[in-house]
Amino acid sequence: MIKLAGSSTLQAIRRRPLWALLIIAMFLLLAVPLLSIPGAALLRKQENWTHMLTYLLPRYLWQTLILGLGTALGTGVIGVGTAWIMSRYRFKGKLLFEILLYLPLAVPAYIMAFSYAGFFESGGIFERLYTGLFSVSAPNIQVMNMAGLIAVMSLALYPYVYATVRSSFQMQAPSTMEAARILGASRTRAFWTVALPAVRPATVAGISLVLMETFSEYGAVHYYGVENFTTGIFRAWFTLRDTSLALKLAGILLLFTFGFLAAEKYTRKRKAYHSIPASHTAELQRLSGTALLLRLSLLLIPVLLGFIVPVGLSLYWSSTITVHLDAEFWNILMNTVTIASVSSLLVMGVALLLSHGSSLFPRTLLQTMTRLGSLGYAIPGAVLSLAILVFSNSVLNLLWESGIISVDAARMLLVQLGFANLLFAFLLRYLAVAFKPLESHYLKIGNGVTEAALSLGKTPWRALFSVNLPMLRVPLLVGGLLVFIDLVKELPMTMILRPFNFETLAVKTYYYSTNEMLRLAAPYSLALVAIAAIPSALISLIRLKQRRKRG
Amino acid sequence: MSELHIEQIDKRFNGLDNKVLDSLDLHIPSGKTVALLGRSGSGKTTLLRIIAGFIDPDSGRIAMDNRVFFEDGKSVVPEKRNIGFVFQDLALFPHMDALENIGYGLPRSERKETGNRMLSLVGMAGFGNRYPHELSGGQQQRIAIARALAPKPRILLMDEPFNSLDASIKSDTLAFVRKILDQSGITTIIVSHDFHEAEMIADSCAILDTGKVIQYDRVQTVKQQPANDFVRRIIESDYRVSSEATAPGV
Repeated sequence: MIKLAGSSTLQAIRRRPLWALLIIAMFLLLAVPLLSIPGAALLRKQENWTHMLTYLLPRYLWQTLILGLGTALGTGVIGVGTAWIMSRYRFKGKLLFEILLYLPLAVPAYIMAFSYAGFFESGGIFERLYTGLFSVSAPNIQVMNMAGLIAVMSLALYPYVYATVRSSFQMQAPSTMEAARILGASRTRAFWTVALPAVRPATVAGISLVLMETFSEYGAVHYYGVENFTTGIFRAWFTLRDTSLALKLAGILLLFTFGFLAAEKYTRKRKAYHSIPASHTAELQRLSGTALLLRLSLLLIPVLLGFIVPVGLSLYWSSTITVHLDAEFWNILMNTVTIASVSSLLVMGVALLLSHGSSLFPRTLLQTMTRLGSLGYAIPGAVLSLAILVFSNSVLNLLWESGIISVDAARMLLVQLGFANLLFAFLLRYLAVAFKPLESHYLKIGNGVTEAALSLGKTPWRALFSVNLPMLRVPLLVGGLLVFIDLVKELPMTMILRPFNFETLAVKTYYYSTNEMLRLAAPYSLALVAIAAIPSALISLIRLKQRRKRG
Repeated sequence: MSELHIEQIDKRFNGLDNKVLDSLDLHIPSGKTVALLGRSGSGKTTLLRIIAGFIDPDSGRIAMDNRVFFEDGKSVVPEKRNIGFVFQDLALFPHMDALENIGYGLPRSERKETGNRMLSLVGMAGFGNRYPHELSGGQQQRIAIARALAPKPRILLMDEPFNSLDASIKSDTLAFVRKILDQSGITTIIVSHDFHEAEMIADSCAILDTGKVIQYDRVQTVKQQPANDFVRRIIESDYRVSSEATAPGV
């Protein structure tokens, strides 16, 4: 069997060497830097490791676990709850919520964290509002702790769960719920025993994305004084200057992430969760009176706390200072838009080539390589950045030691590599975001379309541009917009890899906020949210249009 | 065993001018199997879903024996009607094995014993721990019937349950289901678009067109004395199922 798979792969490579080379190169580009982590970690100095192992590692493990579980639960409850209400009921104003529920996607967790910390601080807005309203001193609410962080992360990340579960509920055959009801189950029992288990894969897919983001989060976690692996890596890298320690922590975080993915796969065992094809569409329940009010409030809470309040606070703080939208502001704004646009286009281009290339080699090792090559999203940004830094430094060292380039050239390259490293890191981390929608589209339409074009004398390139690309416009656009939003908000990779003096809205917001200058941070965070909100709204409109097309 | 009274049922879907069901009357005697036949959009499935309580009619009355299910806008919820339903897509719960599927409508204490008995009844003993996707189409069919019969419903409703079956196993399955229905003696309504299917499984058949019953009699009587050309064409299976769905659930 293995021999057969190997020979078909070789045959495929011989038939389309350029496409095969592209896939192999992309796979190696991801795999080699990551494989360099364990080697580099073991070879380097060990001085802080014992201290880390005894005192810090258990804390990092524990806090990463608690934060992960709490955020998974929080996003699960909000995401599944809102998706259920939106999928089952018909009410006035539903169209507005179709857009509003995605908007927290535009607010990075760290901006939300800064906003709520400022809101509840001593002498802050909450205290003044409370005292003004009730004429008694306000209770002391502490949000800068684990519970506050879980709340913030859940509000910032629930749209990932909402998006996946919403379409899963939409595709669920209504007859399974009806079967449960006719067998005597109440609405509540039918929801818990039939509707909810049926969306388990979608929920897990959404929560997996949430956990990847949570493990990768630096800004909010550091600001609220929680210590997880990512803050540990930053401490080892920037404070202790201990590369070996940072790499070891990166390795453990990587194991942790893959352990989670493997555990989920194991618990599914033989059970199938795919939906049966619906024989009729579900009739939406019409809401009015108290039932409508209750559901509207449940939908409004995450929008209010996840978008309106943090944006409102930034607007308020901006209004309390004379904002100088000077050259520096515009420069940083342009940096953000440029790097996000260029990287998104790069990611979209590579994702398109890889998905098309992969479809040319069905059931071969090359297809598996493509899937592995797009696993970067599972790797926390700080880990990926370290891997790329270690890798590019090793390549430069090798070139210098073997006499191919001079010391000066190596130094110059090191500086110039800054942008390349950043683009490379963005490509590896966010490739999956653009690749997955394209891959599932290719799986859905099968190879028939490409094969038809090839049989009519077109090359794979011509087939891609003349047949596949027009069909892939929507998934490509949605993937590109999602990558753009992620890149506008991106913080940890930019912090580690950015060239000297290169600043983005995220970096500037983080700098001002961590230095207790929330008012100065406000214009930058507002600009960031505004730039990310436009593609978020576009995505929700595209999804709405698609749902209507499907009926 | 129960009898079902359907009186003056009207149903119109939002946004559609025509009535899907128009002052429809039907009486299903106790212990009999009645087939509902008609072309796509004639209201067969809508009627079945109204009897089950998944949708409410605009007006009319539905009663089983002396128990009223629907009258004057008041409706009994599906889970309180004690009706069995075999769905067109079978609607087996994909995350539960066969035994769990069958036991879903039973009290916890009876699930294992009754579940295994039902498995034996439908000739599937030993298949209890298989998940739906691990069973063939015909086997899934048997599990769906066992699940519907397990809670001892007073009436069984079947919505085109043989549609997805391969022609090679269809007649065997029909004969098998007929045997099960005879054994249990349950009052049954089965929606079909195939007169031959009705002939094999039902005692009587009701022919529906544009929301009205245009002939209701014993299957052999309908076959020998069709009320009009439309019924004759139904018997000759001129009206095969078409893909034109005119309203949700129709």
